[in-house]
Amino acid sequence: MKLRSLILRLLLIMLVGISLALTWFIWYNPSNFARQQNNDVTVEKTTRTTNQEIKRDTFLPTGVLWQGAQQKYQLGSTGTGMAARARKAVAKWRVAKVGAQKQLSVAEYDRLLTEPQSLQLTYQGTVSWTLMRKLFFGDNSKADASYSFDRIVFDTENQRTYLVNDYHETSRRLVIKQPNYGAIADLLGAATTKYKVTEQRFDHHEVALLDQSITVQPQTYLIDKQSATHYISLLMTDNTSTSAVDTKQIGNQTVYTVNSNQRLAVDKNDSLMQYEDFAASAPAQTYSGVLSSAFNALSSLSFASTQGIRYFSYSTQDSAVTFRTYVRGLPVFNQTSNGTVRVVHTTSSKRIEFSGSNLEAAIPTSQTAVELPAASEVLAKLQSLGAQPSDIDDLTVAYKWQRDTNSGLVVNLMPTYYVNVNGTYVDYADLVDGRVDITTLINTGN
Amino acid sequence: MDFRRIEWILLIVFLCMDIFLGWSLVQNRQVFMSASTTGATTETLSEMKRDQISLPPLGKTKSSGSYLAGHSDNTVLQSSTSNTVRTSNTTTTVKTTNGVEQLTAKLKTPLALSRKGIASQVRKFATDTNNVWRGNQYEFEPSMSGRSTYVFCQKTRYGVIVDGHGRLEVTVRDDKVTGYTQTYATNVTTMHRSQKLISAREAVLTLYRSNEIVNNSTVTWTKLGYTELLTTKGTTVYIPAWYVGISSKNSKNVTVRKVNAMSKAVIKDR
Repeated sequence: MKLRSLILRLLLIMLVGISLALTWFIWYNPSNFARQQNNDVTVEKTTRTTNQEIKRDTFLPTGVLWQGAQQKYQLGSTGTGMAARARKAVAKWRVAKVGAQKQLSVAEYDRLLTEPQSLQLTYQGTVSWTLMRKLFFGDNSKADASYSFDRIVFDTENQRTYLVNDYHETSRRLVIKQPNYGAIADLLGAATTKYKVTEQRFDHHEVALLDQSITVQPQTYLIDKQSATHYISLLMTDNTSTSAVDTKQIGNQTVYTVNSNQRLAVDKNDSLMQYEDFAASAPAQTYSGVLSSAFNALSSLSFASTQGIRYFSYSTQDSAVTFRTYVRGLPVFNQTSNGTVRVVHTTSSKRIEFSGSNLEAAIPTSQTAVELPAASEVLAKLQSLGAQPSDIDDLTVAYKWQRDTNSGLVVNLMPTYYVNVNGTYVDYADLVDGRVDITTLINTGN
Repeated sequence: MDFRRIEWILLIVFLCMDIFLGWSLVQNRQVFMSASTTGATTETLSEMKRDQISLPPLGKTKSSGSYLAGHSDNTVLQSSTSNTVRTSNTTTTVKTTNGVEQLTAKLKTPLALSRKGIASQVRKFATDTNNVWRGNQYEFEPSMSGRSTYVFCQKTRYGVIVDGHGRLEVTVRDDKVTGYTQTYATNVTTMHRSQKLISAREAVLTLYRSNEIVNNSTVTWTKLGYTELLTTKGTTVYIPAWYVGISSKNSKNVTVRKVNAMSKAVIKDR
């Protein structure tokens, strides 16, 4: 009898303990917070500009250079960017033929890149002619060819246009009917900023380095913040049925799943989001196929403003396409750890990494311009910290995304240099101040 | 009742509770997302009628608007109030409260008004630049005015500022204009491309659905204008908003509710 009464008591204590634990779980379950939000989310996708127009803007070149008699300049303009102006200038051109591929010697390649009176448009990542002939040259260009490139050279003096692949140092000449090189040369006059630069080769890429120090004004932007609920409605539910969304808390992330095929993980701290679709089929493994499919993934996010979002890079190793926001011609870093949107498309799944906070409108402010040193000074400093030129893959003037301390609706973009050390982009100021240890980056070699 | 019996009862009670909590936890894991459109407008309107909420005729037109930006560090009122106003019948003091520059003017000799048509006389006074600096840039807002305070809102190229950033309030006592307070928003420019705004009707429906309109009340007026969203680095950002005046049928008090005309979100007072 004594044993029985002991068992009874233990059982009772256990049941009380269980009820306390369950109460605690229910209380802290994230779906309780989700319930408190307004679940009637009607997402209005206002399509002001067509998708095709947005695609053409997304795949615009990110660098516009002018080679003068002896000096190269990086061009910028307020209002409509230089790349968009260049595209407008060639809108009526008809590409009749894409010439044969030519492997250039080092001397020939250097000569082409320093061709006097030439306008050169560069891409951060590689693109293919199949994709770009319609997006850049317009519907009049029927000539197709299998060629990937990252630079277009308009030789206004000799009236020739070349596609150039900086990585392999090859080129192909475009035969154009009714070109207008005068309009291209006029673009120089439209530029409101002209920085003196010299291109230097880093890891198979040509990087435009500033010859002198410049001043850049910080920018302040209003941000469009969307919650996980918004993206669940947008990406994971179809408009006909009521879907059951499972929520779970895993460490710092809240994970929402639908149908075991779709998953959205949200980082509580940064509103960084990761959407995965395990039933997505892989796109055609061509540049055109992969980049177009990545663009479709970007479009599916229906950002309030797509202005300034550009194709940044494609890593065949990771099957990842990165899009990054450009403000006044400069790339924005630190919005997430990988650009604005990163799309990874494998044979069996699609993953989209993005932030719930994106730029919406520029707030006019008059902030003091920040002085940035010449690239030579930056490289010398990096060398003194232990980085060899071979460790550096890229160097660019950029804006760093910094949350405003006073308002959650505002973000500050601070001008700085961003360095790519063996595959990782890092703020130059962080390296100089020791906030980031350069040796760890150097040692994780590519 | 001996202790044993109590224990047995407790055991069964807690067992039942645990079963219930366990089931509840599993259920809670699922948040049902209905991607259906929010209830039809006609349905909501009839619901409001049943709740004894009276509505004025509500416009369905959607105008356009966008974010506006204006200077926030102002000293215009301090420096620009013209001599005509200063040396005339008014004493003025300028003070900045919460980052907003405000001018308070007192008439040395209060202006007497005839009993009939006080409002139009006040309007004539306020919009005359000899009396009020840039007074012609303000428009009378009857819905926000009372018998002793007449409110005027600043007109800009892009719309009217309805909050305290661009406002003129004229005080009337014993049928005499005794003074006024004034704020003025400078360098107002548009920040973003224009987009479609919600209509007055949509604004009122949004408020009702968010439980901001109680039963037995009347919507007395609606006004579309610009109000401050935030101020940062010397710039104030304004958003277009619907201001809705609601009065209870029992008292004369009017409460003002605001709805963001771009995002449809209810703006809560800080």
